[in-house]
Amino acid sequence: MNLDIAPTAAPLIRHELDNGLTVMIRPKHGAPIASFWVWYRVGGRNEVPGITGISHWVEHMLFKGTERLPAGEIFRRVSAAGGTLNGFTWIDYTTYFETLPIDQLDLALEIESDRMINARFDEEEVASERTVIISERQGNENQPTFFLSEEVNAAAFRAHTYGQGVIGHLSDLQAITRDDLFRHYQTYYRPNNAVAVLVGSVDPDDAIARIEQHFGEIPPSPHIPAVRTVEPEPQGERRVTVHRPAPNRVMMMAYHAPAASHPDVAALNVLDALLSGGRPFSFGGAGGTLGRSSRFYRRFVSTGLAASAGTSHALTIDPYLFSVSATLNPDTEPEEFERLVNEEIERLQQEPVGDAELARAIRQLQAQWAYAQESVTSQAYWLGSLAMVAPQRDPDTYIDEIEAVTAADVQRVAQSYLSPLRRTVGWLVPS
Amino acid sequence: MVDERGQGAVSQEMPLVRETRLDNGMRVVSLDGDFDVQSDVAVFQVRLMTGTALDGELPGLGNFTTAMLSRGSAGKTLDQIAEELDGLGATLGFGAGRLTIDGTTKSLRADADTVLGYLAAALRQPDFPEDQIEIVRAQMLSGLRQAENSTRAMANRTMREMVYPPGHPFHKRASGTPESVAAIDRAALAEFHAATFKPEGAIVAAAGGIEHDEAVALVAKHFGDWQGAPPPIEIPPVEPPAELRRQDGTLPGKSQADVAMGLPSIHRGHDDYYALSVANLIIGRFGLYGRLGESVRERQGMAYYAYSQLQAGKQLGLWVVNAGVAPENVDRAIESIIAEVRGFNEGGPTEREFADATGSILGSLPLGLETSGSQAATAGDIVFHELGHDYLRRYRSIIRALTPDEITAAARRHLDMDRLTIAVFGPE
Repeated sequence: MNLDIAPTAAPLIRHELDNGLTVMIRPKHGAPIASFWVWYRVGGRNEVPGITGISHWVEHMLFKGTERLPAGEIFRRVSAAGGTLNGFTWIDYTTYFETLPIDQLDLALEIESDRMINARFDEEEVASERTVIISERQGNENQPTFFLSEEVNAAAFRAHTYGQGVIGHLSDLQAITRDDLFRHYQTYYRPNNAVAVLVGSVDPDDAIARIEQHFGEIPPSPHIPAVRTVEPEPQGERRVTVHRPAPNRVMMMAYHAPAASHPDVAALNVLDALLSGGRPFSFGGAGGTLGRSSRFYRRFVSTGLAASAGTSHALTIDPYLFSVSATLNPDTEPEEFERLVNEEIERLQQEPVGDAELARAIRQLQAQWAYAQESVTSQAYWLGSLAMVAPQRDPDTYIDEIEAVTAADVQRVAQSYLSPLRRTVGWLVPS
Repeated sequence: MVDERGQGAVSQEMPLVRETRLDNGMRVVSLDGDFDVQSDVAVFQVRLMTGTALDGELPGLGNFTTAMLSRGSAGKTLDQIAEELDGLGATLGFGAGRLTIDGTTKSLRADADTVLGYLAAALRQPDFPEDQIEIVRAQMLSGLRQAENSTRAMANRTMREMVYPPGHPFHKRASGTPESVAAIDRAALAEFHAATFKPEGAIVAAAGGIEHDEAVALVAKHFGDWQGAPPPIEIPPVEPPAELRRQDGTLPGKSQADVAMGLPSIHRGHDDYYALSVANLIIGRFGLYGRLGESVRERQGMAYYAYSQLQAGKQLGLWVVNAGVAPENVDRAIESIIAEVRGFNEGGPTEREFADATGSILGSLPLGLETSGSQAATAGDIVFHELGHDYLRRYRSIIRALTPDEITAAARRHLDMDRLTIAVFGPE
């Protein structure tokens, strides 16, 4: 199936500074803007009991003052320049970005190079941020499904740190000290543990020179601690139940799935689209009515069994989870619902998907791919996130792998990964 | 460092709006210029001149009709349409406002013709299948139950019901009531559609890898034989109360109180719009929510959030403050917010605030023109509010011409804190 999409923009330029900072630059001319991101390979995955949630807290602290820029100043300067900015923490990485008019690019380079090395971690700011982080955790807890996913994650991973999540345990958040935070920052916020991504109306040589100028003097670390633990093969199904005040029963089934570097991920991505629609690769994706022809929508939502039902697949450094979840409507029997979900999964395993249906799933992903190319922020997000989780992968050819997925591939990965022995099943029961 | 904000390093000329009017009164618009998105994507946004202001005796009717548009049209069921659209990786989106109802397509550029056809079918020939009507009814009723359980929604609704008196088109809720949503039937939906979904005056904004002339041809193909004019929508102005008024309510099981403050304000075409926008930006939006955020949230720690909005519509405007507050702090937070605005009216912006606010408006202009979706929305807005086809080229000089005195004067004229309407909903 041939798709009439023009080749992705300009070639990607890669460069590495002497201090180990990986730089990725994609020129994109059109609107006179640029998006600059710095990605650090540190997140929930790098934490241990006692300091869970620390990576997220460090991210907050990076907005709370450096030697040069007092707390709040980063926000003010980028806003005053007409730009947007944000930071976020996940299991595999922490990232910060600014998207701004091209003539303000230096502001982004200054901010990111400054806070890579000069964040102050004032005791007062640490204390005030403790309250904010704990409030954030409590805000999450307002959603009963948060408890469900925490329990499912923890049960699915009995060894690997992915079981800890990102926000952290309340007791850890209450106990973490300024020194803990600063040590974590000094350990992981190093150029040789980071990737800088720039997409926009730039000349690559000029951009590299400016990045060199701002980041080149930052010393690398001789040792970035590695994550050693490998989650052992599951020996059977696990089950958890969460009792919380909630309007509906919610089901979450998580199957152990391969890491982003594994050749099977493209087929899993297509399987995901078959079951619940092609999801965006980055920002600016299509939502709305997309996916209403998917198996889960037709079997569970159109029929009124569930208010919503979907699957989710993520690209991660280490093997993670392929999730199936659904919010049941009040009259739906949970055991019966589980049986129907099992039926859908078994169908995938036993019957190769038909050509038209496969084409539909792949087409949605191709369209989502095209939608993700429209904005500099969106392109930069894709480049950086893939560089974090699978640096050996070519960000421009992942879509080719998806296009090449066959019905046999989908059937094979369904059989390999969606076995009941490899899953954790969680139920949220309204109390 | 940042002393040249928005001043001129951006050498590209801003795009112009190109407009072509069809015989049936539809206006096809697009942006023309150097911001050409080298895009494989096509977006169409059709804005019909009908809205929930026409709900009449059945609040929720406009929303309900709009929610049905994607659920079966021109003889095809939702399932059939879904299969065909998913097969192209394309989506349709629909939204209902007080004065306009929108239908939007997003697709690969090569599929623009086909997908626009689906949008045309949805807007011109929705079938209103009974089974889908019941699904939407259930969703709307569920939404109403959730809103009734939300301090924020209740505060906003109560405030608006006070600002817009009974009989005013904006008094009744666009989301309806449990009674009205239960009463809407197929006949009512079909009638609302037949009476108000008309092409005259509709704005069709096209963006992405589609040239203007091509867009005109496609719109003519799918909508050219559609005839008719929608009923006019007249929104009477409202006066703020003679003095501040406030209404409080409670909900069970809550820990936070929500405050909604409203003041009738200027419409988009008013001379004071730009100056008042900048004032509002400084008072309650810039950075971490301007002076309100800085004072009420950061310094005094009284509010979880506090921000303001200037909702300047085509005919009428509303200035709104929303704040989430610990219940014991409600009165003090309200006083603080009012004091901040009065302080601004008195002393105007600081030099830094003025520079930051105008810099942010000027600098952000290209960011808002990056994608097909934002270009279509911008073109549509410019034409809807009759800002002129060269608006984007004039915009910077309009902003640069503003002075701190003008901003202060506009705030004094339009932010009279003695005439606020306040609604508070909190725990029992």
